[in-house]
Amino acid sequence: MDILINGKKVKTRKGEHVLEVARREGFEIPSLCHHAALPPDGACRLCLVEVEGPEGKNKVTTACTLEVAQGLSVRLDTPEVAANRKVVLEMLLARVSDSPTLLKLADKYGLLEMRLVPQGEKCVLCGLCARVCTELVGAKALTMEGRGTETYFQPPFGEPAKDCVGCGSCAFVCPVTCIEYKKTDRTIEIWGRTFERLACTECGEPLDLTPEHRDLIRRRTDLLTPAEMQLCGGCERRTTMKTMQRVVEGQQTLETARR
Amino acid sequence: MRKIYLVLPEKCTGCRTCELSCAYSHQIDQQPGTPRIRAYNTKPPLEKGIPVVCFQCDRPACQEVCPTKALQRNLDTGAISIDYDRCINCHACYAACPFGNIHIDPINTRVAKCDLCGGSPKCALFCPTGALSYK
Amino acid sequence: MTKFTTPAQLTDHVAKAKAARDPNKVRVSVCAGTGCKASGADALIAAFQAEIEARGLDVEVLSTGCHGFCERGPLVVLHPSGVLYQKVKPRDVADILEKTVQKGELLPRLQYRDESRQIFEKEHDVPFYKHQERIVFAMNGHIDPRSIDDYFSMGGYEALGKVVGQMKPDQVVEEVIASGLRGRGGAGFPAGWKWRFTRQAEGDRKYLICNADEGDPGAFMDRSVLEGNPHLVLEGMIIGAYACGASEGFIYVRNEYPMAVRHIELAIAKATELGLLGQHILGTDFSFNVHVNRGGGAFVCGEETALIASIEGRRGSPRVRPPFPAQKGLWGKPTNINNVETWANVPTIINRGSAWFAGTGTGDVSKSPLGGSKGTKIFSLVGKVNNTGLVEVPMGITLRKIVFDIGGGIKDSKKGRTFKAVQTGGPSGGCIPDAYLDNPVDFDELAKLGSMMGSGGMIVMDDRTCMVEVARYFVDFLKEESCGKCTPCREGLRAMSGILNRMVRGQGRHEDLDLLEDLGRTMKTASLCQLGQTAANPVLSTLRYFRHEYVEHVDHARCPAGQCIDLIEYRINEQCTGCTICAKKCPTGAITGQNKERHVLDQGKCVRCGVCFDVCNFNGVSILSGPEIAGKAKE
Repeated sequence: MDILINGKKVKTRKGEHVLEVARREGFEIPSLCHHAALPPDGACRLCLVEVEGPEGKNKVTTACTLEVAQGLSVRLDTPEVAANRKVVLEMLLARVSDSPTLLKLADKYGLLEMRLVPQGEKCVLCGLCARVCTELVGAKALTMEGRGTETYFQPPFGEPAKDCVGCGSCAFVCPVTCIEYKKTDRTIEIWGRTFERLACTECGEPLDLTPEHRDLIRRRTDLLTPAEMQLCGGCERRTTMKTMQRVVEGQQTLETARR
Repeated sequence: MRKIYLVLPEKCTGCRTCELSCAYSHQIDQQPGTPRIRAYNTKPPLEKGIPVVCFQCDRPACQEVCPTKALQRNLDTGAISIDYDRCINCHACYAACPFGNIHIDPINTRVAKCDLCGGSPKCALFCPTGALSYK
Repeated sequence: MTKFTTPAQLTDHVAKAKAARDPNKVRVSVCAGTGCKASGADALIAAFQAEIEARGLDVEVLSTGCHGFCERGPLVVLHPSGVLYQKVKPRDVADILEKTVQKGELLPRLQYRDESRQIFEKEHDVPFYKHQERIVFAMNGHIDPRSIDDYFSMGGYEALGKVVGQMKPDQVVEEVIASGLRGRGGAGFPAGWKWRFTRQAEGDRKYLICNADEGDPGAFMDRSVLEGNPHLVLEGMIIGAYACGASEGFIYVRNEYPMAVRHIELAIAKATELGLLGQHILGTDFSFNVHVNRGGGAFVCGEETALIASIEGRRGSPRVRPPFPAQKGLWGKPTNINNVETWANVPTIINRGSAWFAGTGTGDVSKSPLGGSKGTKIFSLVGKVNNTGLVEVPMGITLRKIVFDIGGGIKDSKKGRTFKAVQTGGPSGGCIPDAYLDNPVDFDELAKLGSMMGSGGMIVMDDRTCMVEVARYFVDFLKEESCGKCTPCREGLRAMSGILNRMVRGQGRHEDLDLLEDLGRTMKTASLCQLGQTAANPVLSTLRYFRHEYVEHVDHARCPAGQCIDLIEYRINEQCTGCTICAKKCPTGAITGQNKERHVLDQGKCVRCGVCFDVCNFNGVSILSGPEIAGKAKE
């Protein structure tokens, strides 16, 4: 199915959304709440595009939620898109004024003057942290709490995150890096919890793995034993190397080396 | 026919040219990335090198534990490669691989693994001894 | 009574029940809606029952649903004569039975009088009722909502018998499409089309939802329908389920409506007992069950996708459409969701035919239901009018007729209060000024005026209502009720609230006006759901029609309506006769003065509550604002 982006004919597959197609084709569309591994959510409203309708009745909508369809034609930089995107950006920047991500976008999309009162918040409420935690990692440690302007993404009731496994994915996907994730030699601190870092059973080097996360990962496959998971990459490779050496030296056959 | 990536440890001298070529073919912001292949010098009596690189397993643990389906087999090369747009850097694959062939790049703390350079592995190209080949 | 096992049995039963209802039987119909209950209807009903028994009369006391004229409650209507008594107390019961019921004399002290003191004897002559046209409310006031027999005796479930016995599902869908019925919940999407989409959608299960999550401040029509005639809604839903092929239905009603919950649960139990719900309805292959879901009172849960999320047990946040619920709704299955009032219209459409229904209203729906607005609409008429309450009027009626004929005009018009605007469509509706009073009220006309039909809220404002303050009030309401998910709605409302709160304190800036418009435009264009897309309406519509009030606030720190307390001062002027009433009523003791001498108001003590202004009968209190305050101070 072909669609038109800024007049350019582009190949798409059924079920795709305009944002992913456009980015694949090299077009730039800003967004904060989109993630390739998650279904579209349409929360940040930055990825606005204009859909050409019949009789000049065009409609501005978000590219992330816009499914491709036969005859679809979108434009990315119409005055209507630019004006609305600028106001959305202004709203976000009023909320979180010091985010380099947002300041860069403001620069790029011509937001020169701030008319709104700064709110001094840190989070843009894109929701990626909670969606990643719930829909991908499967820990379900974070939730959207409150309503209206008093909305927060946090562990239930704002208490230390009971179901968190300390994997740090939320902090990684956060577009404005507002999730505090602290790593010491022995611990990982996040969402009010302090997790023990497992150490390599061979060399003692601390791993980026907590016992809780290890157990969660093991639920996804039947291939792993806890002992195998608790070696650092270097020690694992040395074991691999030794096995290979034994094979080369003829002490072991390839079949047994393959466990 | 799909090509085969062949490792012949008996030919390896442990010169680590493979690591160098790998690092330079996986650059991050013009800095060499972490090598996805490591060549180890063994102890006597057999004093030589052994390259350790991803086996592209038939049933890869890294792929099974990935919560985002970011690890997928490239049907052209047979390599399990990482889709960084989908990856959420949870390091589950690092914990899962029993052979130590998932690496963490110190520059950006992201996971990295051998992707056979999309069909022309530089390690095989530059290997002076023929220990690594792709044909 | 036993289970009905064929449609014919049901039809027979209804026909017999209708014939058995004696139109000449003396009935005392007492409104037991929530409004009248609050003013003492329960005690009144008990008093009637005791007194009738004591006197040995053959009179039936009906505890009915809401009659609509809540302001004058408790209401009593005597049938068959139709005499209306208002604000009735238990002590009046003996008089009513002895004088009116037994001797036919009227009790003037209980009769309704309009502003000019004219008495109206019969219910249907009272202007409040006279201009109404009741389809949904037709039975309210004639039946006890807890009694399925009462409903049968008014022809209830006749439509269900007809549908299941004689019509194919597609025929039902086509009939509803032909009637032009559009959703009464807000957006006005053709109900029949939704039914057709659900019917045609593929799915092993289909669901039906009745949206009774009424959230607009001051609106209570869905509540009154559910409380006053639950079987009507239920019958509409069963017919809808038959037409859409749904097997499971949900009524999402707010927990703050305990009587509605009780009555609908009672209705479901009774209907199930009689085989009108459950497995093999009326002995056919059609099965349908209904469950009641109680909502926690979030305004946004009235949005259909948020409501569905809430039923599924998730957070009530809207999601992106498409896919529409008709394709992927509850638990991913095709789901048809309609508002209480929409469902309640269905049995009448089936009974009297689509042509009859389409005979009322505006436009031409023969080609498309979007061609006009058909049938009636219930409005919750509140604010500065003499008669407040629920009114059901034909589509296309003018605002003037609603406000001045039914509503009886502006309250305190003798004191010089005049009409300024009417706000329709709930918090995210818009304010319509007097220039458009003669425009017809329907879905499309209201949208053209920058407002909307919404679920039918109608707030009348007089010249003492400040439009900036109105906008501020609604924006602050929505700021708290937005789900908080998408940026334009959440941050736009926050920004607007900040600006408007500054303005009503006299700290607005002229450039704020453009900023408000900018924010409003983006909220309308870029928000995710209907709530966000309409949230700017209160601001945009008041800016459109009452921009001069905003300008006065920002340029001169003056509130022309004299309502913004930070910008006004009350002064006692030379018209003061020294009657002392203001001094007596002032809650802070700020007013002093001798009898028959001009009083003095101590500004330091005044909290600007306006009581003195309201109680003064001689225009002796003036409200100053902006530059007038400084000017007057120099005198």
